[in-house]
Amino acid sequence: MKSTNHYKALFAVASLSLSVSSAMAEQRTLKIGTDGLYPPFSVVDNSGKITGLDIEIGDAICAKLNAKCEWTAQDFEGLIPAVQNGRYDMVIASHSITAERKKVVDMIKYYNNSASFVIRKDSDGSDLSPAKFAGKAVGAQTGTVHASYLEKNFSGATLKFYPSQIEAYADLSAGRIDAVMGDTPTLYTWVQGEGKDCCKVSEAKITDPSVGDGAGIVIKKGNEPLHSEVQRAVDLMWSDGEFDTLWAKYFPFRIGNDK
Amino acid sequence: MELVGFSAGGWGWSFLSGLVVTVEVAILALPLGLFFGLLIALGRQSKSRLLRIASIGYANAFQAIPELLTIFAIYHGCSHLIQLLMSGLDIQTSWTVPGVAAGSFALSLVFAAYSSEIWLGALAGIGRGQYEAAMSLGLSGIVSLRIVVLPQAFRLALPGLGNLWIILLKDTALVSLISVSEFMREVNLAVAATHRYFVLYLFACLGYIVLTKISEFVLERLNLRASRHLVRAA
Amino acid sequence: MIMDTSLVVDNAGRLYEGFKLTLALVGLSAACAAIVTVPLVLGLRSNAWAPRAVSGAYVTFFRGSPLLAQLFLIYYGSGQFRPLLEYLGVWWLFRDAFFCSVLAFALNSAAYTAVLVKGAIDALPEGQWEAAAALGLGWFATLRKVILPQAIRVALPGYGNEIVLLTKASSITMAVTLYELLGVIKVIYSRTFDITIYIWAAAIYIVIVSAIRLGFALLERSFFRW
Repeated sequence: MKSTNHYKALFAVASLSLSVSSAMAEQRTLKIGTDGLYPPFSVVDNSGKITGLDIEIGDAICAKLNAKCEWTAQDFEGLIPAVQNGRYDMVIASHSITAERKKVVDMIKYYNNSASFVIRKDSDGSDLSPAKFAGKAVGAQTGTVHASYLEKNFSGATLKFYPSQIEAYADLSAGRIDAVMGDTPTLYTWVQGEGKDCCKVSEAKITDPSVGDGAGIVIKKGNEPLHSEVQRAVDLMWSDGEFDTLWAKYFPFRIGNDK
Repeated sequence: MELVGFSAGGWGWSFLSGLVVTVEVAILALPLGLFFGLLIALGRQSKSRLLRIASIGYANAFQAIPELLTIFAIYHGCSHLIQLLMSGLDIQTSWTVPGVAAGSFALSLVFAAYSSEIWLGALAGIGRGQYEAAMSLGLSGIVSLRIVVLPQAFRLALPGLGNLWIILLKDTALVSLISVSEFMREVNLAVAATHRYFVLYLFACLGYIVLTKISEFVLERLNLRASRHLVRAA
Repeated sequence: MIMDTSLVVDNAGRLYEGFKLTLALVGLSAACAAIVTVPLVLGLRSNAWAPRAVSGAYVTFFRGSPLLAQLFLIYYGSGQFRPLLEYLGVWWLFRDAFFCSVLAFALNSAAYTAVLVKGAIDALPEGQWEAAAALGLGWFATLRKVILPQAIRVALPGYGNEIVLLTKASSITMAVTLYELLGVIKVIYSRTFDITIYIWAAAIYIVIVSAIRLGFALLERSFFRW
């Protein structure tokens, strides 16, 4: 902690338990938060290492900023507050961009996204209207736009909210619930692997504006110059094809990034 | 067995590091929990009405509030307060309370409330004569408390404090809900990766049972040691 | 401190729903725990080694590990055994998060209550049994007429504590999709990021727990009346 700031030094002594963001002279470190239970975007392996597409994207951004990414995985619901109070410099966790979120934090769009349901194989996935799911049990992750969407529109269904996507899948395969709403790519990955025997992604998509306009990197309001630096890095990744290359490692379909 | 082993695909090392953090969170909560609890107990015996009411109020409140609520409030609240304080001092900073510290601090507040009861009982178990003798030796209040009363009170309090330690150890599992990488969280991560719910959660229970059994063994030894002067040589 | 009451007023409906769920969880769990406690106490006090060992292992398991882990084990663990549970015809119960939570709480609380009751019975002098036997009372009549009335008096304060602990512990069911009082409060926090909701929450729990304590104090007084 070679900080020249007197206040900082004072407080560091006064409260040993507080962590201080050390201003590294050589290469700056960017503290980034993510979910960790969101395959294939972020997963924690048995050595405690966080890997996945969101992590590869973040590391590519850090490389462009000549910075080192320092990743932390935590509960999704707590990520935005953690950016607000400075726990992380940014959060890369496939957050849907909504007007509500943009009131409290800045968001940098990094790919187009859409929302779907996963449902049992033998059910009809062409109609995702609330009437169709009346009396059924539908799950989503707490703190997501999907949870809010279900709460607002699916009052006729039994709604179940889970700490992470993983628990929702567990209950879907156990037959406790009939559908899980989520981002299409992550649902796709699940039905390719664990859920391939029981379930499929609905053919219909949810296009309601409340489920957001693409996925965004979350950053504290007015955090310049970091905001413009990250925006430039994202633009560059899209123009030189780096994003497509990373995406192709995880998905057989392409995705865009419309402004 | 491979699942929880230390080979390449096993989660053994993760679980071990989780267990270390679990014990760490509990141990970090001890000093403040014990000391603050003692202060509350002394406050409850105080001659000042205000102090008495405040101490009793504290003890009752934190015995009534769910541990999880205290943890959430400290975790979200402290970062919030620090931000307010810092922006008040006009300092640009990104200090936040790490989960381990927030969790330990929250659990120590709860521990203090319960341990004040134990301390109260222990202090009551020391005869008036002890205080009077200390006074007649010319010892001041603080000194007599420190060298006469407390060593004896500690022996009386030890069994009760031991029970609280075991409760504390199990309560640390709640800290997983604020994403501290302790044992329960590591098990949840392993579950997410392997989908072996039953086996892994059973293993989690057994892990805590091993911790509590070790604690019981050590506490029994401590108790014997603390009261060895009471055992007559045969 | 002046606090904005609108946070509570605006969410009164949700909070009330959460409160009702907390009440249902605690009430039902305590009732089921009482039923499980009986065979456990008999097992713990048995002269035969097998019932003693089984009840001892049960108590060690449920008192030695966190309730959160037990809840996960029962809820997510049972999901893996769906075919078996369906075959046994009990899947419809395990399918339900409320049932799984009540089951976990009841099994857990029974372990603590059994130790409490056993302690209270053990505390009575052996002479009570002998005197009752001399009066020609059978084992069951002795238990019901002589031992239990005294044991309940001894165990009642501890049992009140156990119910308070159960009330506090019920706040973890949000981990299995059941949003009781604290769950609702967390949802309100995540919508508003307003810390004061936690202070309101603390006040609500203090009122609930005080009510339980008062209830048990009255109960104790009626037991000690003679």
